[in-house]
Amino acid sequence: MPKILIVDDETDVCEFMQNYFKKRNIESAIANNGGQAVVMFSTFKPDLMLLDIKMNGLNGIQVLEQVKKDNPEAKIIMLSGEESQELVEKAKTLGALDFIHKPLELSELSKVVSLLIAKK
Amino acid sequence: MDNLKFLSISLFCESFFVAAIALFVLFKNPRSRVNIVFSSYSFTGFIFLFFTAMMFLAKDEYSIIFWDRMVYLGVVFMPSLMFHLGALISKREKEYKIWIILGYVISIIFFPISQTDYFLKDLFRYKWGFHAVAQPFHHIFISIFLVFIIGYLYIVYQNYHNSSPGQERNQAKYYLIASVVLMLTSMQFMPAYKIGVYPVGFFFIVVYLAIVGYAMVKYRLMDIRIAATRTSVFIAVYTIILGFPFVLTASYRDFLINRVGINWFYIPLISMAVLATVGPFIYIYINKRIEDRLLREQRRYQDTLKQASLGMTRIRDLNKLFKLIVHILTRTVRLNYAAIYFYNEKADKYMLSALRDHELSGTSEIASNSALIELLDHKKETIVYEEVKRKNQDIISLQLKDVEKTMVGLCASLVVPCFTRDKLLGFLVMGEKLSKQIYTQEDINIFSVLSHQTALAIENALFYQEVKETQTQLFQAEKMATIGTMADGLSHQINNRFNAMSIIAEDSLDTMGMMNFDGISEENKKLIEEFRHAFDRIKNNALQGGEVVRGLLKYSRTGKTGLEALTIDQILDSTIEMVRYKVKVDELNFLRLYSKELPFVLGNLTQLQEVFFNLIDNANDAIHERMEKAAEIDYRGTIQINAHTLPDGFIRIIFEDNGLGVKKEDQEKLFTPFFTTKVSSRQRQGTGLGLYVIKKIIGQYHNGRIFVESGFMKGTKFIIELPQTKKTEAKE
Repeated sequence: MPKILIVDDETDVCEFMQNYFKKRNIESAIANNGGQAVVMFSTFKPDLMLLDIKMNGLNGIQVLEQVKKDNPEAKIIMLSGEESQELVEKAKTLGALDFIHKPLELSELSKVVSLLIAKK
Repeated sequence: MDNLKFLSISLFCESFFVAAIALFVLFKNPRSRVNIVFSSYSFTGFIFLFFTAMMFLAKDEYSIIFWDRMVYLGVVFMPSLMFHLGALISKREKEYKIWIILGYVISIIFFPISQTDYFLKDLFRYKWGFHAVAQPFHHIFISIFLVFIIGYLYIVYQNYHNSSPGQERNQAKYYLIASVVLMLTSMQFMPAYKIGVYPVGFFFIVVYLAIVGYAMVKYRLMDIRIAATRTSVFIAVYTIILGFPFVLTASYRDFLINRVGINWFYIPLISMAVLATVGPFIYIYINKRIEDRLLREQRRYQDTLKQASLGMTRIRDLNKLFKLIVHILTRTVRLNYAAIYFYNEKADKYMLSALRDHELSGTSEIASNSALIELLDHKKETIVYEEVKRKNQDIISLQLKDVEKTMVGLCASLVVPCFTRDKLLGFLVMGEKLSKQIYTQEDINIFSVLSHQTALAIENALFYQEVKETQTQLFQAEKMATIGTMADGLSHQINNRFNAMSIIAEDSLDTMGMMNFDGISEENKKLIEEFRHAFDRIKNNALQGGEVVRGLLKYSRTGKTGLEALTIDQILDSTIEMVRYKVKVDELNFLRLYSKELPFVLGNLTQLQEVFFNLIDNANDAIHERMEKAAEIDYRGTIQINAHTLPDGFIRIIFEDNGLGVKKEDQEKLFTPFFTTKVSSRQRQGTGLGLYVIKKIIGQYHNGRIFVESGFMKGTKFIIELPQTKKTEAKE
C-alpha cells in the first residue's frame, strides 16, 4: 500500500484527508507540526509528503529543506494559502514537486497524488 | 475793438476744435455714411466759425462784408446737412430721401447767391460787433432753413420717441438735447436783421457737435442725467471760482484800493487761490450728492453686491456658490435673467451651471473656441451687447457677428468674465434690468469686482473640494492599509477554516458516493440526495470564500520595491508561467503582436507581473463567460497583446480580448474597489480588487496611465501606458 505523510497543524484537515485517502487504499500518517514531520518522514518513510507551509515551530519551507537534505529523492507537494510568487519559486528550487493553493479540492489533489505515487 | 480781437481768438479756437471733431469722427469710421455727413456738417461749422473770426479781425467795410459772405459758404449747406444727419441717425434716410435731395439742391442754389448783393449788403454796426444786413434772398434762405430745422427737430424727436429702452434711448436723448442746444445758434442771425445781441451763438454749435460726436463715437455712453449733472455742476462751480476774482477786480477795484491800499490785488489773488483749492472739493461734493439722489437705486444694489462679493469666499460648495451669485444678481440688480457658465475640462466647454428667472431656455453650453470666448479671453473685460450690436453696424467683423449671435442666444446684455490669473474660469451672463435702464460704467466696474471675487470664491471652492477629495482618498487609503495588515494576519486563519470546511465537505461527499443505497426507501434516497446537495454547496462556498481571501492577500502583499528596465517579453514570459496554473493558455489564440525592437519599460517586475496576470486572467474569464453565455459554434477565444511607443516617452501596451465585454454602465466602475462583474460561476468569482490594485500600481507606482475600452459581446481592450527607459537609466 502506498504511504503518504500529511503535515498540517489543522487536525480537522488531517483527519478528513486521511479518511479520504484511506478510501482510496492509500495509507497515511499525520504530523501536526514541522518537527514531528521531519521525524516521521524518517520513521514512516512515506512515498509522498503533503506539506503545509504556515505552521508553528518549523515551517513548511524549513521542513522541506531539512527533508530534502537527508532524502534528495523525497517527493513533496506543498500546500499553502500563501499566494506569494516568491514562495512558490523558493519551494520549487528546494525541490518541491508541486505547489497547491488552499483552499484545495480533494479530487484534484488526489489526481496529483495518485499520479506521483504511480511513478514509483 | 479789443473786445472783438478777444472774440475772434476764441472763435479760432472753437473752429479748430470743431475741425478736430470732424476729422476724429471721420477717421473713426471713414466708410460710415453717418460719420461722413457728420464730418461734413462739422466742416460747415468750421467755415462758419473760422470766417466769422476773420470777419471780426477785418478793418474796413469791404473786407467785413467779404468775410461775412464767406461765412455763408458754410451756412448755406447747414440746413441740408443737418437734416440729412438727422435722417441718418434716426435710420430713416430712405423715407426722407426727397427732402434730403431737395435740401442739397437748395444749398447749391444759394451757394452762389449768398455771394451777391441780393443776399447781404451794407453793414450794421452795434455795441458788440457788426454784421452785413440781410437782403431778400437771405429772407428766403432763412425761411427755408426754418422749415428744415423744424423737420430736423421732428425727426430727432421721433427717433427718441421710438427708441427702445437702454443704450439706444440714451443715445437718442443725447441727440435730442444737443439739437435743442443747437437752436440757440440761430441768435447768430439776429444782427443781420439789425438786432444787436452779443455774438455767443456760435458757441452752441460747438456744444452741439461735441455732444453728437461723443454720442456717435462712444459705444458706452454715460447716463445722460449724469452727464448733464456733471457738466452743469462743473460750469456752475467754476464760473463762481473763476468769476468771483474777476468781478472783484472789475467792480470793486476802487473800493479795495481805498480800503487796503496799494496791495489791494492780494485780495482777488488770495480769493482766487482759496477758491481754486476748494473748488474741486465743492465740485466733487455737490456732484456726489446729486448723483446719489439720481442713482439711489443703483447705489443700493452696488453696496449689496460689494458686501455679497466679500462673503462669497466663505462658500465651499461650487453649485451653491453659483446659485447664490445668480440669485443675488437677479434680486438686487433686478434683472430679468442671470446665468453662470463654468468651464468643464472634460468636455472643453463652458457649461451652464446656474440660471435664474428665465422662461426661455438659454444656450446650455458654449464651446471654448467660440468667438465669444475668444473675445473674452483677449479683452479680459466685460462685453456689452449694445456695444457689440452698434459696432457691428459700423464695422464688418465676422468675429463680432458671431459674438452678437451668441449673445442673442444667451439672452445676454452683459457678459462678465471670471479670470484667475490668465485662465477664463467662466462667465456671468446678465439679461436686461427690469427697469430697462442702461448699465452704467459704474455698474460694469462693480460687476468686474464681483466677477473677480467670484473667481476667487470658485478657486477657493475648488481647492476645498480637492482637499476634501484628497482627504477621502487618504481615509480610503488608510482603511485599505488597515485592511491590508488585518488581511495578512487574518486571511491565513480564515483561509485555513475555508480549507478545512471544503475538505470535510468533499470527504463527506466522497463517502456518500461510496455508500450502497440499495434497499433504502425512496424517501430516504431523496433525503440523502438533499444532503449531498448541501455538502456540495458547503464545499463550493468554502472554495469561493478562499478565493476572496486570496484576493485580499494578494492586495495586502507588498513586493520588491524599485523600478528597473524591463522588456515586455520579460514581464509577459514570467507572467505566463504563473498564469499556467489557472489559465489554459494553449486553448486560446494567444498572440504577441508587438515588435521585439521596442525600448525598455521602466517598472517593477513583481507589480507588473501582477498587472499582466490579472489582465490575462480577466481576459480568460471574459472569454469563458462568452462561451457559456453565447454558445457560439465557431468561437475561439483570443487574447492579443500589442505595444508601441508614444511620442511623449511612454510605451503603450494593449491587452485585447474577444470575450464577453463590459456593459457601458459598468465601465466607469471597473476600477473602483470591490466592484466585480464576475458573479456567475464559482471558477470565475471575482473579489473586485484586481483592477483597483492594477490602477494603483500603474498610476501611483509607475506614473503610468490605464484606460479601458469595451463593447458588450465584442471584447475588451485594456490600454496601459508606462514610461520607457534606456537600460542604463534603471534605478533601484
